[in-house]
Amino acid sequence: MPQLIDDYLGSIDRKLSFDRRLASRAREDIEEYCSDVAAERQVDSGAAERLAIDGFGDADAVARMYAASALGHQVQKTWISLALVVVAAFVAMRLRSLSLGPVAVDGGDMLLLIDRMSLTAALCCGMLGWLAHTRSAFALWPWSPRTAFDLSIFAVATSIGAGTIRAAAALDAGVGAGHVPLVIMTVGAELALLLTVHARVRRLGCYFDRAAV
Amino acid sequence: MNAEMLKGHLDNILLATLRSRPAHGYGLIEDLRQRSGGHFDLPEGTVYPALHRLELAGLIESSWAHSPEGRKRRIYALTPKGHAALEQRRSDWSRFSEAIDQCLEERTPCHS
Repeated sequence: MPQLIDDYLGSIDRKLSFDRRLASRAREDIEEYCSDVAAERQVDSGAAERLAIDGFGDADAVARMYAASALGHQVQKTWISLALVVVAAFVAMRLRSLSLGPVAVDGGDMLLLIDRMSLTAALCCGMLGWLAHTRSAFALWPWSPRTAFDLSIFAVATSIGAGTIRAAAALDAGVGAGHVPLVIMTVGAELALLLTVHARVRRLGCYFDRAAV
Repeated sequence: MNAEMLKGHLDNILLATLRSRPAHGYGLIEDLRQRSGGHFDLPEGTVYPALHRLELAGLIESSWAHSPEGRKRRIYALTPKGHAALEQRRSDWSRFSEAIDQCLEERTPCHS
């Protein structure tokens, strides 16, 4: 019998492997329930394990329920991360603008417009992703939160790309080598944050996939 | 009692059960079963994840405690935010159930 419960818990662990804390929580709940059943119903551990497995249902269903239970929280965290990245990208854009001054390069105005519009679009898409999951009023919204978050990341990447090209063009036009460290630092920080939030969105996909099984 | 009917109200039922006193998972399930006269026989695989969801939402909090026999248990309790949410949901439910009752009554105009 211990083999049966070990296999059961191991199976849930694997299905929730994208979130070790969630997998550990499911394991703790089932183990606690087993010991409570054994004590309260005066049955041996083998019977308690059987009752726990019957009560919780098959491993797929348990993993789905736990993934669904954490989904709302993960969507909110992803939205906050995205908002922070957008704010960081805005600060980086302003720092470069203040440092480099007016940039008289071909297409400079267009690149600045793309930079700003992309950031606004990123913020809007991220907010829609969050609202689509949390507000019933958005139930008919055609995009899933995942799509909205993916679009938001794409928009941030576009903003960073436009900002980087504009800064590189300004440096190329002879703004001054003294500005190079600032440009490298701001672009590096933006890319690092973008990769972090991208990883978070990918992870969020695991919750959606598991909750939908 | 149809389990599907209960699903939409599970959070409210759990919050209401925790209103009187903190409880552990197994005790909560048993308490619900008794209070509902056996009608609410909720599967454990539904209750524990729901408790986790309520905890992540900040409506309940959990802490570890030991039973008199020395077993380690997670004890759940309502947070102030949970108390406020429960009151709001009770009020919403009263209005909703009154409206449904009126709709189900024969020869009574349906309005909410």
